[in-house]
Amino acid sequence: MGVRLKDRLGAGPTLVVGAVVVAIFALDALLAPLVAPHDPLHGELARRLLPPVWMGGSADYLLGTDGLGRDVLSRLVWGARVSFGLGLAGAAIAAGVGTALGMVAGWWEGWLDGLLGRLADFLLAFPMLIFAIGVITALGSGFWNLILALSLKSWVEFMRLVRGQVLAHKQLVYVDAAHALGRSGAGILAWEILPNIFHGVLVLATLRVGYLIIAAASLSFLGLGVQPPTPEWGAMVNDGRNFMLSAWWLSTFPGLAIVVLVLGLNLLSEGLHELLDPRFRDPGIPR
Amino acid sequence: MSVRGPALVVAEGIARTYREDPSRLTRVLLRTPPRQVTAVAGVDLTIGTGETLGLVGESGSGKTTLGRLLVGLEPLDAGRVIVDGLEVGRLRGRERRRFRRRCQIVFQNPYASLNPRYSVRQLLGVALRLRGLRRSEQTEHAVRLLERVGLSRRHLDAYPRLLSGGQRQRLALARALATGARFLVLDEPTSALDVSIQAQILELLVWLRREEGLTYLFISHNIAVVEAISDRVAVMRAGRIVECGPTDQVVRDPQHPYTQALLRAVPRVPSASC
Amino acid sequence: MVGPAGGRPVLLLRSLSFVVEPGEILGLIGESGCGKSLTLLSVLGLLPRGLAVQAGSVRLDGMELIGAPQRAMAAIRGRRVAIIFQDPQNCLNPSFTIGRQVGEALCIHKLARGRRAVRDRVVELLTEVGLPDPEGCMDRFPHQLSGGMQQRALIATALAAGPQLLLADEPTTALDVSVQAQIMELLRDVNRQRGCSIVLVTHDLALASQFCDRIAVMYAGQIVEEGSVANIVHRPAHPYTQGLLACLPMLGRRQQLRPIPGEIPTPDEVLAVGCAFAPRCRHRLQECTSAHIELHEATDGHRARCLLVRHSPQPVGPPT
Repeated sequence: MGVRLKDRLGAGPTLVVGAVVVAIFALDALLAPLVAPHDPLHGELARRLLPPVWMGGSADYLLGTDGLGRDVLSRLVWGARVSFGLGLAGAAIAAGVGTALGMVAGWWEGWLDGLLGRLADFLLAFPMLIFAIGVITALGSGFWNLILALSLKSWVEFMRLVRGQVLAHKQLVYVDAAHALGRSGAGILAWEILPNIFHGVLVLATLRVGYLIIAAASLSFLGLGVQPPTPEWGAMVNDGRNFMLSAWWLSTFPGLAIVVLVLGLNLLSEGLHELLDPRFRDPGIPR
Repeated sequence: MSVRGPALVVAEGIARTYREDPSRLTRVLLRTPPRQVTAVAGVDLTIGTGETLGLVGESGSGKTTLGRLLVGLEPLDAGRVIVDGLEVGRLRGRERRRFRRRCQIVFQNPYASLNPRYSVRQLLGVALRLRGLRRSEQTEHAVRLLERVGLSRRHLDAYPRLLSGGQRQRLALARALATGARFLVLDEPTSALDVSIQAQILELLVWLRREEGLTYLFISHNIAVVEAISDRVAVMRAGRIVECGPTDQVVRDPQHPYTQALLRAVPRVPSASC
Repeated sequence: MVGPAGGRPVLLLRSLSFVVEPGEILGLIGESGCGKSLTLLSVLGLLPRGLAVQAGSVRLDGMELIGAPQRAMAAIRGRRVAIIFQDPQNCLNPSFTIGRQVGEALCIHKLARGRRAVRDRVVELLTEVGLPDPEGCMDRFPHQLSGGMQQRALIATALAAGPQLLLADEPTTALDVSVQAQIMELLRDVNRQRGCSIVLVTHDLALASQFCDRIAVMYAGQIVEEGSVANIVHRPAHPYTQGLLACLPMLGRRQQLRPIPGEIPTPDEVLAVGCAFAPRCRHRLQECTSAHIELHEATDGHRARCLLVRHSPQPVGPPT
């Protein structure tokens, strides 16, 4: 879409670092079966609680094993699928639903906008975790229920963002011009306004993925998220809690994984913001 | 009032009022009445085919709203507008598309009226699609339009932000013409441009008018510019037309006190004395 | 000479010189990007960050302003040289009353002491600028006044300290034409009654010709012609001025507008050597782009930066 990506990439190490980190985790999640040395669900009880290889452990289990003899590294790798997947799915659903509702609210206003607004106010009153705990208690735990709980609250932010943007853009002259050229309301929303606000949604969504990963991990830590034996970083941290002094690696590595991925996502979001936003101030003029 | 050619645009008793209804709660509890501003209060005008009617007014006179009413961008609160046989405001669906192919508007701000996300080609494409052209035929038409307004094929894949103000207005004109429209409402098309560029655009407008047989409603707060391009002039104030007539007549011998005051206030170059 | 501080060699103003006599109104005419606003800002040391005066001098009554210490400049700004801008709404603080803002100017320069004195003086000023009901206006907020009245209030603020020189940057561009006429009349009164010199920056040549004593025409960061109004308007010497006059729509003469071909150059497109207007000039000579061109005198006080003037000191005549 016009601006040369390469020119802009030079402008921000943020974007590059973020993108690289996220890409590594994404690849890891996708290629888990090929990358993980062991089956994450199968444990060799004889080899439980082995330390990482540089601390005297075995080369078979690079990062050690947990209380049931399962390879930490493999669980970490497969856990990326779960944790990253949760965040991604949750953010995608929230973004999709929120954007759609936001466009409707911003364009038509009226009672629908009022209703959505009140609903949003209501939902925002709850802290994320409390709300999610409530939902899960009601519906039971599990992968999809967890996603539902997370996105049920997150869509609100997207709705607000998009609604505000639509309200602002609605007043701009190019929308009038589109009207005059024969576009209908829905057409204008989709083809004229959405392309202009899309980058805002993308930046927010990227940020949200990180936030939801942490939320999911917290819930799993509390035992309310993904159920064992599915590897999930938060759950792994919880599992390792009892061994903090003796086998610190059990909690530390999954914790680190969360931190690094979320940091990468934040940087990516920031970098995208820089990339996409001020590009309209590009001065190059070929006459 | 002599009108050249058969009437292309007829407006009778048109009015538009903006209302702001406070929420029901406020209205009941605080007895606040709805606020309203009457932008256009009963206007009649006629524009003949091939004619240019200039519309002059200061800010708040309602001239922009009038222009928008004529192209159907605002709903009429009263009266009728008939453009080329089609009554604006009673059009639905396909009829509405037909109307859009007759009558277009060019806006004042060349920086805001073009969607920054679209290339020149895509912007023209929207208009050409209205005319029923398929993607494959669009390119040649687009190039021809660009050349007509003084741009070139080179600009096809550029984005509006890379064009200067004058070039963008040319593009806006090309887009309006792309629909095949013969009646153009020009809402202060040169007010945001430098004087020398303004002259270029005015020259282009005059040339296009002759070449394509266009009819214009030229709206501006600058009566000198309006004088330069219009056959007849209408002066608007507070939602009404206070004076209307052939340009020479209105400028040289204004009848209405408001017009007289307006003309007196326009800065003039002192005549050669020494 | 004004350009970015920090070395990227794009000059925005080049060898700009002009003189303002006491009591005269000088019009500075130009289109966007010619640097007319920057010129005013440089006088008062108000250039935006990133730009600096790289060479040249600005002297007020013999005192050098470029590089003067901040304290000296603070004493000058408002007191001896005042500036008013284009959009009065943006210049007036929306949170304070008019009376407070005009009074502020008095207090900064310690011209009145005590609330009574300040109030009286403010009412005097508001009356001088023609605001109806000055007492009432004092207690109103800017958004309660119309555009014209806001501009009058702004002028009152500028005049509060009794400046010798008033810099006006497009003061009427944002106003309706009838209000514009009134504000210009006000400025003319200020000039006559206070003897205050005015530099009027505008793109409207007709406006300048009606109200100014002398006019300087700017293009691409330089003054290309200057002289009395009569000379500029009836005997323009520089092709750009001639072009401007030929393409200005002016009431009463239903002439064919003759546009100037081409576009205004951006600062980095301007030719490094020679006349910036040459690419668009019909009378262009070979030498126009090969050497630096000075201001040449056409007749007394009338100068143009054009080789044609050097060759034939009689001006080239009305626009052909």
